[in-house]
Amino acid sequence: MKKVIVVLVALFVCLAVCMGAFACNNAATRPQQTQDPVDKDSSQSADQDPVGAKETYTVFAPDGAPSLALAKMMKDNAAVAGHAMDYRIIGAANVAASMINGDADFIIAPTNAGVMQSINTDNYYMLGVTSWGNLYIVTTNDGYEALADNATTADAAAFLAQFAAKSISSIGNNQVPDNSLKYLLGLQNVDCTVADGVDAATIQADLIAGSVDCALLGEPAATATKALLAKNGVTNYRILGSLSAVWQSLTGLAYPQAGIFVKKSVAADQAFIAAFESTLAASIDYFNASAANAEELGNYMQSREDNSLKGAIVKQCYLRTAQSYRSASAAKEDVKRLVGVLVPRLADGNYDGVFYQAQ
Amino acid sequence: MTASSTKRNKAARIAGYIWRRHGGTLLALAAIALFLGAWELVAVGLKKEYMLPRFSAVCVAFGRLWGTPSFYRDTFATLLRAICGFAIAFFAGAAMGVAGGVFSKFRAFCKPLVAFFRAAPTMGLTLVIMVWLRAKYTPVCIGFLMVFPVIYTTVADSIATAPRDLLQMAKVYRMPLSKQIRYIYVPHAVPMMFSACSTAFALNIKATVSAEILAHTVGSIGVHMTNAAADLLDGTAMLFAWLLVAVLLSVLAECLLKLIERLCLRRYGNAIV
Repeated sequence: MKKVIVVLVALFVCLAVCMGAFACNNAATRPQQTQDPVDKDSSQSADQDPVGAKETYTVFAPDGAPSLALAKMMKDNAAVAGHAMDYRIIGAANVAASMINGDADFIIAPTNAGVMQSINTDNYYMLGVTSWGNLYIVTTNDGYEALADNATTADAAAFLAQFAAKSISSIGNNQVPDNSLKYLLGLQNVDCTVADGVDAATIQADLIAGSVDCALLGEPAATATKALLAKNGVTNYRILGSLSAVWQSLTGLAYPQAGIFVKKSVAADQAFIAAFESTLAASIDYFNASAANAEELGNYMQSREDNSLKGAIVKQCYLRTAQSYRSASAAKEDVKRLVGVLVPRLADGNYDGVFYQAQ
Repeated sequence: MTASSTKRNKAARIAGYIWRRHGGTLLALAAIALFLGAWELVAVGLKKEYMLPRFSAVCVAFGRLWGTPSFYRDTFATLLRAICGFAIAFFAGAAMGVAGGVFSKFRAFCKPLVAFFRAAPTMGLTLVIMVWLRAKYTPVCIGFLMVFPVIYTTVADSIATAPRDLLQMAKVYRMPLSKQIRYIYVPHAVPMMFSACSTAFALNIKATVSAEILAHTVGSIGVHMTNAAADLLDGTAMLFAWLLVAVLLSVLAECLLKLIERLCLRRYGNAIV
């Protein structure tokens, strides 16, 4: 009896210690940072402070290409205007949740989702656009023509027309990629079946198997697919053209795929926001400056182990990830056009209050 | 009898002894070997590493894991989340199970709640809970929701089905409640509890890792699986390696519970005269 009690007590003590360690220890679940954030709780809402000042601000980015805009800032653990920043990679499914529960002071989100949550929560402004389209139509079929550089409207129309009576497998079922492609095909009355490919890995497997010969993939997956297909004996893989180029040619507007959103209480400090925008723009410029820089940041992101980016792939496709910063007020028309297509109830564009305006 | 026939008889007796004592283990090992052999053959025949990597490639990837610091940190973090979820569910389930076993009205009251927890799709609940809680607490909550109905039902059932004749005898001899609990209820409940805990912990680990994948909980087995799955070029073997890690965690936990069960049953087997 004593032995049993001793074993059970030991087990419960271990459990209690484990629970205590789990409850207290945040460091084990965070990616490496070059310096620790200062002591104030970074998830504390700035609403509690009437002036809106915090010592540490959280900056979230979803896994994948959108996080590359912040890569330099993450690598340097850059402070902004004297404030420490806590940079985190989250899952794509967590973006809405992070905005709803107000965890993120800054967050990179798909434009449509970010605008919707900004309106729903009335807690965020759109600060600017960071990604101008990383979606590409790819194929293993030699019969398709690639989209010309600096395509005109006629070029884009002819490009889409070749998919008539064909099938394109798309990522993002009923989300930005899928709905954007369907919109453009509908605009040109091209009768093409957009099959739901579920995710990039499934589409890659289908391309290898030959059950699909045309797909819509995002970078860096579109570039990674080339090596994967070559390894499996498929050597005629090509990137035909950028969805954002087709969008621009047909609508006359740019394709603001992802943007940075800021909590309204944080945006009250305009000097801080200006400094953040400047740091973000510099981070993106550094990423775009050369393949070596892109590889350096890609390798850093790979080392974090909280995202799926690979340095060698990022190096090859960094320009195709289309990272560039423009303020939301300057990109308003582009944003409204895209959001109007993806979220029909916002087609009237009556949400100017979502766009951050420096006073 | 010749020397060779004596030796043969001795070998046969030894083999028979080993088979009687460890036949189950040998059969299990044979099944594992057969499964792994079939896996390797199919992988070699399929020649599609991105779909089914060879077992040898998975072993190499598994070996590489042990050299990375994040492996220990993140595996421990996942185990901690699983244990937290299990512990909270165990205490809550046991407490409510006692109430449910003693008071039939309470049990009837809890029935819809338990049925909901049991039937609700785990992934759907994860999506909802991600909004309520942070990504690092979502797996703990999902683990709790997976284990709670099992523990509650087991405890409530074990109390409700305690041997009536012994309880009547305890009443006749005016046995104190503490002794009734110690000598009647606990020995009746312990075997059922251990069986339930063993099943529940395995389910708990599965649910915790699944929730980590969906919630993208940083510093977890789930995130490593997500990242490996995104890389069909080199990542499939690593994905299988992480799967193996999750399975081993489950198996180790089950072995530990079996050991504790054996110790308890050895003692409680003599509790009822």
